[in-house]
Amino acid sequence: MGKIVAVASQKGGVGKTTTCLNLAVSLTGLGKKVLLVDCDPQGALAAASNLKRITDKGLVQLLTGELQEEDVVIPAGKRSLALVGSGVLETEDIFFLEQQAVSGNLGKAIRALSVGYDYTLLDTQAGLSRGLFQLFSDVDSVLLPCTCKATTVKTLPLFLKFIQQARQSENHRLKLEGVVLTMYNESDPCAVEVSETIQDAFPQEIFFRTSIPLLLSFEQASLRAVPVALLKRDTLAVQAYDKLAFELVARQKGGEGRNE
Amino acid sequence: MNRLKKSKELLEAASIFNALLVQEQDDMAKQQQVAKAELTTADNVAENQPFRGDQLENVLYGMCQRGGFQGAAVADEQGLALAIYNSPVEGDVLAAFTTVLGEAIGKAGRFLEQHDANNISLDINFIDKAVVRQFSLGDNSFYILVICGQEIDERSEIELSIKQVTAILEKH
Repeated sequence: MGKIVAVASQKGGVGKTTTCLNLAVSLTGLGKKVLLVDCDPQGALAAASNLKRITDKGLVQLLTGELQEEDVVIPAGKRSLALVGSGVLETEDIFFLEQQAVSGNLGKAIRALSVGYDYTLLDTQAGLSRGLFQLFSDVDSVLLPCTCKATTVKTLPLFLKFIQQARQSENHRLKLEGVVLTMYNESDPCAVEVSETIQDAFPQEIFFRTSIPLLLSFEQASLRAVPVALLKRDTLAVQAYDKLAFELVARQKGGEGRNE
Repeated sequence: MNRLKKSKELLEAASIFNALLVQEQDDMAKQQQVAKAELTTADNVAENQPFRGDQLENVLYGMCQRGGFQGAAVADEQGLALAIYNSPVEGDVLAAFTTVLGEAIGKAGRFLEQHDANNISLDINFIDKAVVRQFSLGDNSFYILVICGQEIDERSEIELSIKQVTAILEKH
């Protein structure tokens, strides 16, 4: 059975969408079948992947019954990757999607869509909401991207309490997949110090060994609305997500990828 | 940076990370325990107990021992007891009560639009609870009832035992 992983964080701008997209591409490189779902009404994933060129329909139209599953799941080229957009076109669609998340319909729809995929990655909206809380009842784990900034670190307790609460009341099987440090700039002494501080303070097995470096190529890929792997310029960026994908798969196979 | 190191947020996050990890490890241990118990298949039970009622009682006994439950029963839709272990009241009464709760699952499903509801939990005062899980075999519905403390998470043991009960009922 496949695994549904929510890429989530209370703080915005930590690289959720970039992680979702590039991790998905790297997972396909390991032979995995991956579904990417844009649960963020902002539609950042659709924008970052050029999905909007093909369709602007997605979850909203699926949940209203206007479209069927096969109409909203868009295969990405020859890769074993498919995407589902949020389908948010109007302001009321935002409220509709949140309401569907709160009622549990969004989670059920995602579970149905995820059948046949090894991994379903959910790009979620920044922040904490009742909808996200309910969505956690239908996911297997939460992957938490975290930048090495004090402001991000300080949002962690509330987000972790949120996961803990969801685990206790909604989904006893909900796992914290791990924390991945993103936009890590090793020439920035502040980032290095924050990284060392949190790695000292938090249990080691929480962290993925791989951190995602701060590289220009992510911005360039974003400008072209493609995953960084398609730029073929920056092997460092591609390698980082390949390693992360490998660790994610290894963790599922029995925890050997845990940072012990 | 010292400020971050000593900040309340960092310490709090560390403590929650630890709690989440401990919870995950506990759950993993529990799953392993369940998997181990699953090895006690209905076939093994059948070897030692020739009669269906005895086999079912054996399953209930094992479930109560592992889960720390006080008692348990299996009943059919008509309220007929198929097996009872350590009933606090007359066995037939417990079986009838099991079916009453079982019917309440169906009603909850209709009234609350929870059409896939298959279990119900009744808290008795602040100490015990009676949990009924409905399961089907062919066209027939059956109920398994467990009486245990409210602090006990009974789900995994019930799910495991349903597999065993179903296997026994299929054989007979």
